[in-house]
Amino acid sequence: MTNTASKDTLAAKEPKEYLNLLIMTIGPLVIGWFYYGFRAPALAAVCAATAASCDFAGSLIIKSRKSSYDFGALFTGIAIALMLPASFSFVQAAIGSAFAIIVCKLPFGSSNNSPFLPAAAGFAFLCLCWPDEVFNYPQIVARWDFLPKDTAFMPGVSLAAMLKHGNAPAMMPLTALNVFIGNVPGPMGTGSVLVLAAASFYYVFTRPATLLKSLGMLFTAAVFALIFPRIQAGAFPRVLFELCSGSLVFASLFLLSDSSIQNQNSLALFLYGALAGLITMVLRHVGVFEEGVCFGVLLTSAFWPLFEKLFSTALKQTSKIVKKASSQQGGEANA
Amino acid sequence: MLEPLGKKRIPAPLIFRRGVLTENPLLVTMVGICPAVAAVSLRVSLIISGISWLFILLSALAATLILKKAARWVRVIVYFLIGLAVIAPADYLLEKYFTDIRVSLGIYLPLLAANSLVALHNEKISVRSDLRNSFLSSFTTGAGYSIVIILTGFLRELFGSGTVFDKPVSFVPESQALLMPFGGFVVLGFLAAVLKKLLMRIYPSTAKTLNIDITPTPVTIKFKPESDTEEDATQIETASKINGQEVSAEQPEEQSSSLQKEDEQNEAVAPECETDGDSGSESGQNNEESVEGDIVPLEEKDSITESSETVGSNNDSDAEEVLEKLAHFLDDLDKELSAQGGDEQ
Repeated sequence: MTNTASKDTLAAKEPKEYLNLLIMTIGPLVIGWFYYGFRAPALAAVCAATAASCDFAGSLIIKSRKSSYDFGALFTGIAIALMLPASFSFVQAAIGSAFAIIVCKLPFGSSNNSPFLPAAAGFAFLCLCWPDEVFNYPQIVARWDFLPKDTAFMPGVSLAAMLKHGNAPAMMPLTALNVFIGNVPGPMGTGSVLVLAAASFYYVFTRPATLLKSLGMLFTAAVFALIFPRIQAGAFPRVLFELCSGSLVFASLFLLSDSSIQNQNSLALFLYGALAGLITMVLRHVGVFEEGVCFGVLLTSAFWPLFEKLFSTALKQTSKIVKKASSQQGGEANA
Repeated sequence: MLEPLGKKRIPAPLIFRRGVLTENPLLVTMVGICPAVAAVSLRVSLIISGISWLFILLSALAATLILKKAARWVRVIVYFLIGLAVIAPADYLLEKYFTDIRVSLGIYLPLLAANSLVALHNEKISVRSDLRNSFLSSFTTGAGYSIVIILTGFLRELFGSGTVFDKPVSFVPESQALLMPFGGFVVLGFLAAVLKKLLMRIYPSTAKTLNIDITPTPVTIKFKPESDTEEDATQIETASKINGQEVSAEQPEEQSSSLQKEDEQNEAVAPECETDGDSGSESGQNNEESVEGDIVPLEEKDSITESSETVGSNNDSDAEEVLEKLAHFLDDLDKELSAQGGDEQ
């Protein structure tokens, strides 16, 4: 995905990057705990433990030695769990995490070398294997329990499902605040846009370039929602529901932030995010599943080498033109 | 990667080893992968493998017996016609008696007629070999192909449908994604990795000649010429720490002793000089890097160190000899000049 030199530097940065991403997931995890009870963090723990175990076992088998532990596997596990419903089976979630690490990370050495984002690939695998379970979101009953309880989940209807079926009347009673704080059935950790926005403040101070990708994705999704609405409603609710449904914001902040996709060119980053948003929205419109953001991110990552090539050539040509112009100006001044 | 067998009598076990293991068409040479995608169950894979095996055998026999003197473009057409002659009746029978299997095979059954493995194998081997070698080669290649297809079908049915021969296996969770085309490629990829690992262990020399060496390349040492003490000079660093210093012919004599120490330590250090997790898959790349850049492979390093020692010692002794000769010449010149001066006076 990137050249060798940048890979080396990225590999050095990797542990810190993933540790920071892990810290950022604390907010969504806590809100998942608040809405769905102890099962939410338990599911995340199972996914993270499976991913870390597979990573460790795989490293032993292929005899790879790392100077320091990268938290990529842990992040992958938790990211997959956050995109799942809280009622999802532990075994199936573990299989998804194992797939992400064994198939999409280990054969390529690390997440930076992989052409696929392991977390997105793991979730996509779960969508293909058990679509009914993945998109069966439970109703929210705020149960801030600290101890595991044998609670039964009642099936609910998510925002994404309502949008998929064009069910505008059902959406109207929803208030903007409820949608913002994620008080709507959906994935256990990606529904609360407010918490995700708070977590994204980390990027403002550390990696503002990453926000460009996120902004590009969200902007395109918003424009797409305005032009091609899936429900008959005003402009604001159309855009709000589209952006807050599913895992769009989460994917734009956590999955598009993959450290192997870094470039100093702001326009390239923004356009990359925009392409991800466009593909995601097209998949939402024509796809089989109510949420296609992971497929969108995976497909977009295939375009990254093209972006790198296009923009590096464009930059070189621009710098040549600027140099020529400046030298000509200098010659004229001397004359 | 396929090499013609010629007309020499090659032992059957060697041909079998080539067809099934070291030159396995699906896992090593990666030819004719398409039917493996269709192998979603054991039953289907058995049918695919049977048809493919028959097709490979018949076309190889035709290539050896009839088509040796025909033009290449004629031969390729004949291969496809033979394929159609095998597949058309099979298609008819499947549609009549095993409709569900025919449906699951889909487009992949007709596609078998255009299997690239047949054309490649016949053009590389069958046309250039005698009947015995051609038959054995096509038989073993078909066997290698069929074994992998059956194994793929078995694994995909087990983990995709949770069944074996349509009998449910309770302890395996079903992952239906494995029944999709990408599942076939994933299974093939892991089988290829396992086979390569086995080949490296069982037939390391053969695997190296076939360029399927997936063991990490050992990379070695650098010197620290600026170091003050001998201990520092003998410090060995791994490839990741090498900053760009190569072994040169101008090593000081103090460090030449360290060369010998390092040579002794090479074998112990080399296994620890593996690069990170991707080293296995990128060993070829590492080789290139090591040749071009600063990282020197073990064998090259040995030759370099040896040559550096000999060149260094030869240079010193030559210089001393030249200096001695020069001194003698100057003495003789002085004597002659003084003698001439005395004569003139």
